[in-house]
Amino acid sequence: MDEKALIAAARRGDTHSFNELVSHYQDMVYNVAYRILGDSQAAADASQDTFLSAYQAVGKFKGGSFKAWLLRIATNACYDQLRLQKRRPTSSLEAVYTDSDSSSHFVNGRESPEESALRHELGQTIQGGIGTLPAEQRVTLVLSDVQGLSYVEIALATGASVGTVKSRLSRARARLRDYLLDQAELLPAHYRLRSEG
Amino acid sequence: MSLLDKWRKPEHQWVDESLSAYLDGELSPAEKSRVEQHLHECEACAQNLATLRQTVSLLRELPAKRAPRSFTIRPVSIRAKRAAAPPAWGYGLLKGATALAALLLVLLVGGDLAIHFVGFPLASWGAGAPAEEVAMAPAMEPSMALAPEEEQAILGQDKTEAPAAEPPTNQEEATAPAEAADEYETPEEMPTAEARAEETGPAGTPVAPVPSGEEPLLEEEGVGAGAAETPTAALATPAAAPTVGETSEPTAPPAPETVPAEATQEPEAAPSPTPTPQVLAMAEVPQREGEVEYAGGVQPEEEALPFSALRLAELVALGVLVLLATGTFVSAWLRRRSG
Repeated sequence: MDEKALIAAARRGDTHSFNELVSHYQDMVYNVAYRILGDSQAAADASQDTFLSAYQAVGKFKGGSFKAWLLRIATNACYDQLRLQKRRPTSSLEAVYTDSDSSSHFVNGRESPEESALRHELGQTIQGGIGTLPAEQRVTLVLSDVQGLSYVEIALATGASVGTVKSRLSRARARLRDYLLDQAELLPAHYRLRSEG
Repeated sequence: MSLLDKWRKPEHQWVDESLSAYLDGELSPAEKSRVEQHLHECEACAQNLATLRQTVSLLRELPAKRAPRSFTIRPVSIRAKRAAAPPAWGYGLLKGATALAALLLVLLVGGDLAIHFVGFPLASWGAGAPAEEVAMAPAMEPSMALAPEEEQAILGQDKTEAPAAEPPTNQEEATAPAEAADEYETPEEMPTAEARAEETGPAGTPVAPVPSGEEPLLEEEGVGAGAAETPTAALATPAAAPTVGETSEPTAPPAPETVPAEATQEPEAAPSPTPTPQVLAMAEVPQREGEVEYAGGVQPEEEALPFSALRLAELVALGVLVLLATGTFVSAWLRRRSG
């Protein structure tokens, strides 16, 4: 995929080229949205809004990292969804614990069904912990530790300075760590946080 | 607490806050060695680092969620997005219109208050149109007296062109109000009052020391506060006269005509039947001013008109503001609801 050529064509209004970009990035956008929002429906809505907004704004894209630009739109769409969730809080909590999307399981051919179930449980606990973080910390944590972006990329995607990203991430990780330590008895022994000494 | 402890506490805090960046390799070499040195000495920080590393590791092991469907763009979805746009545009417009209506209302109320409590010039400006007619319509002469200096100056000009040279016109003018006032049993006073009121113009120069704001007050006094004792029907237009005439005694001389009193000292065409009451009235003026300022119960029609127009405008602006504000709130609510 020649990303630059596709972007150039999309800027000229070529919907087909833009859709190729969508196909390439939609899993990333959806995954980030899901981890930030903890709800598959809200994540789908945020993803749809992201690509619609991106299509309308692609003419203003001035080069640089298309991925960071797209993630910036995606995080804004997630903030909108979070605001909506605040007004309708029941749906998101429900979704975290009842989401039975098969992709939330660790897919590993050698993994027993029991181990798979334990991992699924762990995933839900972590997702619950992410949900306790303030929105900005949540976004920063997901972009860094779920999506694997560098500090500079996160700064570009969130519009914050690198120093702010660093401190938000530090606080988010410490908070999630404390949450997981509090939930230790709920976690399978194998995954409990422990000191390595 | 020893000096070493004091130094250690912030160091411990700094290291604890830097562990995250340390894990990501985002510290400078100097900072990195500082953290590592502290980790050798502080078991708590070493443990924190271990649990933090596990947390990050667990997050990175989370399975990637795949998009449940395609988010490719279709013309339909673009149209849907565009269809949602107008409310946002309308909302902005409504907000702007509401702000404008609020500003208009503030200006109107401000102007109203200014007219009431601060500036009579404003009031007379409002009453300017009727006052101009006075030169032609003698029955409205009193409104001249109500107006401040500028309008008196206009009258003065008229009079200087043919002031005392035309006493017959004075009499002609006098008859007109007399006819109007006949109904209110003030046949004799009217002409004299009118004649004097007219002479306020030429007498404008001697009256000059009187502050411009006072004159209207004096006249108002005659109408409002002193209605019972003076034939103030002469001050009012035929339309306003009934309110005054009902209570007025025709016998009393035109006491509140203080300005004309000055005019009577001028040699020209001064009927001035009883100069003494006029002087007395002048003496009374300062004490009554205070009452008169807020009396305003009975106001001449000319003055009442601009006020009521202003009130009407205020009411209209208020109504528009309420409507727009309601529209804005409804629009905001709909937007929030639709997300």
